[in-house]
Amino acid sequence: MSVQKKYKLSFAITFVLVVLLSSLWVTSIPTSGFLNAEKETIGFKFGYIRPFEGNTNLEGFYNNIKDTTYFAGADRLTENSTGMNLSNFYPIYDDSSSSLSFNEKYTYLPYDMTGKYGRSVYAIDYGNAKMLFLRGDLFKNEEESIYQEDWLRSIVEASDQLYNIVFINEMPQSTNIWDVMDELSINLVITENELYSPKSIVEQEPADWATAQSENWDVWNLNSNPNIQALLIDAVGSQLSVTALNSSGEPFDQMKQDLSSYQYDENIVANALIPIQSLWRYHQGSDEIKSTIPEGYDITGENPITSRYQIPADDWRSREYDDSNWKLGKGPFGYMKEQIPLTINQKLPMLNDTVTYYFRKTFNMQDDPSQLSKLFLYMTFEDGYVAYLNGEEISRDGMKVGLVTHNTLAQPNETYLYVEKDITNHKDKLKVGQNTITVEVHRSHPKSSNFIFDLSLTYTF
Amino acid sequence: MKKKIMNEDICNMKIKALMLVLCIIILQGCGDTSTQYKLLASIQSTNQHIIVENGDVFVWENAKITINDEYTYETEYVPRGKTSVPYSLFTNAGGEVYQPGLLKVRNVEIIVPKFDGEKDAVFSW
Repeated sequence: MSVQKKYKLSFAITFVLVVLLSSLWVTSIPTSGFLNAEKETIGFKFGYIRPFEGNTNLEGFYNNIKDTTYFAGADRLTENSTGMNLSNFYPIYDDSSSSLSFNEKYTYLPYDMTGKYGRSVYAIDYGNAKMLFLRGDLFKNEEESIYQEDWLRSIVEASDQLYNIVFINEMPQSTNIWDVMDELSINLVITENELYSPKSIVEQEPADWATAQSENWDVWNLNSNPNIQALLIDAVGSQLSVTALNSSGEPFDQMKQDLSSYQYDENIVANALIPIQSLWRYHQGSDEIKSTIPEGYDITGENPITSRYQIPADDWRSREYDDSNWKLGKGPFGYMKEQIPLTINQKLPMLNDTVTYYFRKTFNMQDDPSQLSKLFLYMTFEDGYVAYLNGEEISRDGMKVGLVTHNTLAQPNETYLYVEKDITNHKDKLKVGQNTITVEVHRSHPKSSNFIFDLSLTYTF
Repeated sequence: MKKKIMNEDICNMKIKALMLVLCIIILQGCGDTSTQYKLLASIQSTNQHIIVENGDVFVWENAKITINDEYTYETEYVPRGKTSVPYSLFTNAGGEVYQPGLLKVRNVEIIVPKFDGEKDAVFSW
């Protein structure tokens, strides 16, 4: 028996192994690092079709506006759409039908969410948006107006959606409605002829952008350009764009919003001594920047200091420290390889000689601190931080107790976005007049690909 | 005949005594007669940094870290937990900076002088 025949099976197995292993030559095997599944960014695309005279070809719009499944528009757009499947159309009540016929025509809409107006006033969730369909005619009557506003309030307050978009055939003249819109953090109001947005979140203005009747709002007059026949509302994370389209679905103007500041607890912006996205002085950690150990401070952290202490004026955490040569930037600061629902306003370079950035912010306290019932920090950070108020430590997370230097690594952490820290027991460290909050933010590894910091300091009476 | 047996007994006893001495010597070699404490530490490295973990419940004060018996870095404090030190801070007696691209880290020694007020504490890797 020949050798080939005798070892036929062995040769076959060896051949298969060689073939399998040969794939390694053309494969880049990761030898370091880690694989992290990217978080899915929530968003949506939603169309709005304007009611044009003689133009009721809904199907044409459906086909022209690509990648969009659901549309809103005036009820009268569907007048000539007998036999058409309307289930992806969300009508805005415009008085062209009676309430009864509106209910019968759109049986797929939620019924009587208000307990009074059948299907003509309703809300739907789509992506991370709450779409609210109101009736302009009801605002002409005070009682109906209050009823609809209360319903709107109950729906939005119970919702945790980032976007709250109101569709209404026309805005009432009353200024009260704008107070309600502000109170509920409505981010977009779309009527037949206008689009309204809160000023504070507008990133990009379209042509013919003007101040609305309410000082906090701007308005886009959709009648200014006869080509505006539809709007495409496209949201990704906290970024929303509204693109004006012509009848062929071609874009020619755009408005953009950034809702980063909308997505967190409203306490962050209410009664804020330091609002989020404030201006801060910052500097990379260095041996040149003095950091002292207060008398009585246990550097091991085993026996935390309970008495009040003062640090010298040349300590970077001191209220009196001269930070005039530090850089100035607007939070959030950092660099993130991982996608987060927050825009970093001040990109920071990765450091080699240290793992820490120092931040300083001076603010004024006009009220008597002893009258405060609560004091909160809202911290955005990765990986660890220690915060000081007028030189005394008030909060730390992701760091071991005791002494830290600018070379101390934090414990590995996830990204925290405006997480609440109750620091009420440190309110005695606040002074009437000028105060300084300082924060050192540490990475967990000298090669960390994520680093972020922002902070809000708020209080309640 | 009796004398021969006696000589063999003496020989056996000598061998046993020698074995005993040898055991004592060997066991003494296993013991720690050092006058130094041992630091609880671990070492990691990147291409630009050495990461030293102080696993003690104390902060190391005036610590001296030496790479390859030559390049040293002295620091006032090494707090508990991990500390990252760039190689650029390690220098030899001639003032030359440690070049991680050219030299591999063969060993690391950490000395904390007068750890308990008298004896030094060391860590060798």
